[in-house]
Amino acid sequence: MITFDNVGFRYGVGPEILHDVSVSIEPGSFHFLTGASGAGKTTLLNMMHLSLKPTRGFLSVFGQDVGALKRRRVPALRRQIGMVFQDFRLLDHMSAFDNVALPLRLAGEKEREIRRDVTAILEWVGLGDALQASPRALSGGEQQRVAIARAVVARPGILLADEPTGSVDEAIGQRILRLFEELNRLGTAIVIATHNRSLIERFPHARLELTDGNLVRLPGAGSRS
Amino acid sequence: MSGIPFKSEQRTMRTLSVLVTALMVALGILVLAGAATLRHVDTAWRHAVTDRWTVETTAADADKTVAAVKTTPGVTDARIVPADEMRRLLQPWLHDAALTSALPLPTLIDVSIDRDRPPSAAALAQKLAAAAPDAKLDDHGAWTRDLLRIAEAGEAIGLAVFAAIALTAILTVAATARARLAVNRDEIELLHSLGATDGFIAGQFQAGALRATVAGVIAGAALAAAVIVGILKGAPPVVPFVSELRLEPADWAVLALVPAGALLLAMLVTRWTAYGLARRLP
Repeated sequence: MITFDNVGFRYGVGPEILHDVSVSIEPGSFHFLTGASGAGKTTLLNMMHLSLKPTRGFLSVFGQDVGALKRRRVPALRRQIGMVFQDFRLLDHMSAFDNVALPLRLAGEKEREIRRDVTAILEWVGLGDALQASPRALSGGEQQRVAIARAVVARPGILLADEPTGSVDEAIGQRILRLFEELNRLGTAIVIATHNRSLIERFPHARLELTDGNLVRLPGAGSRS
Repeated sequence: MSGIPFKSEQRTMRTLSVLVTALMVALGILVLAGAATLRHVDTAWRHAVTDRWTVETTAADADKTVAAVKTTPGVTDARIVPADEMRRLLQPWLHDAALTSALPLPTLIDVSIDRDRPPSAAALAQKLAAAAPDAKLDDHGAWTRDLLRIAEAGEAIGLAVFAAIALTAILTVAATARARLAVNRDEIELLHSLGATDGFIAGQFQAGALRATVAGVIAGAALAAAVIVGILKGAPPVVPFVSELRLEPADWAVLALVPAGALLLAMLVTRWTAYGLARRLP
């Protein structure tokens, strides 16, 4: 699904911040991406999301060589990737429903199907009674769940989440990770960037640890992934 | 794809945008209408000059002069201007009926010219010199040339002002679009990251700007139409040789293109601006 082969990355003419990253994200897998703040987790996620290109090495996303990818091909690939941003990126002038509906509207879905799918996904994240609520009226945890609903409503092949539990308490953080596990059981590959070690130790999934720009794959507490 | 709403503009910004568009369209139409009217004045003057010449002669040579003029190719008619008619023409200038009646007047011959095949003024003058040595031909060219030049310059200035207005309109629309893009940058970046194409983002943004532009274009066209109709219907003709200020159907058709062109231009500039921003996103 996503393959890094000896990938290096630097911003402009600055020092290289990722060195020889080689890893493969398989369909249906579940990975935590860990490392200290500034280790390059968000940069790695942005490369998976096609927002950044490697400065060296080979990266393929859904079988497409990112280095040779034409700009016009990027939007279609991006629609197969769900992204949960660290800062949620909800649009305050739109309701929770309309925020979640955005990917479906971009995909040209019919309004009737959009209503059905968005209502179902918001119920799934426990916000069935907040369809028309403005994001400003929601708590941090609720906003995070709206952002997750938006990322998964179009049933992407892979979900990338950048510090999805960073602004919520431990209980809500666990609930969010349970949602990701449910989604993973339905076949979506998951990559969660987080530095919350105490939380991820409760889950059995493999870890990709970034240290000084080098990526190491570590087994999780359980046997999956 | 369904419409994706961008953030509503602030009311002040929207009102300003509508007003600027309306004024640009109204100014554009009025300047073009002025240039078209000047073109008609110019044409009327040209016809007045080329259609009619005047020969001044003595009463004794009047008939000989008329005969010489009438036999010249390119002359369609020649008649002696009656003394009463001359006095009537002088009256507005002298304001004194008694003086006008007492004034000794030359004999004037009004010559009608074939506009398409006019005679040579030099050749006619030579012919007159032979037939009636005291006769003087006036083809009106000397005093009307400057007027025609003024009319042509007025028309050229009108077109230059129209071009300047069009350029200003383009820059204003681009600046307005940039301001709206800055307000909606978060939305655009989000749509981009969710997989929207550059064309889709530009199209959505363009659709959002359409309403304000249409309102401005309609208001500007209505304002300009009211001013033009008011001037054409209400003002008395003040230009010599021009019986009325008028616009031909073709002129109205060209003027109607201004709001249509302004709308198209605004949409294209807005789209290009939005497209340019979307293309710069990673």
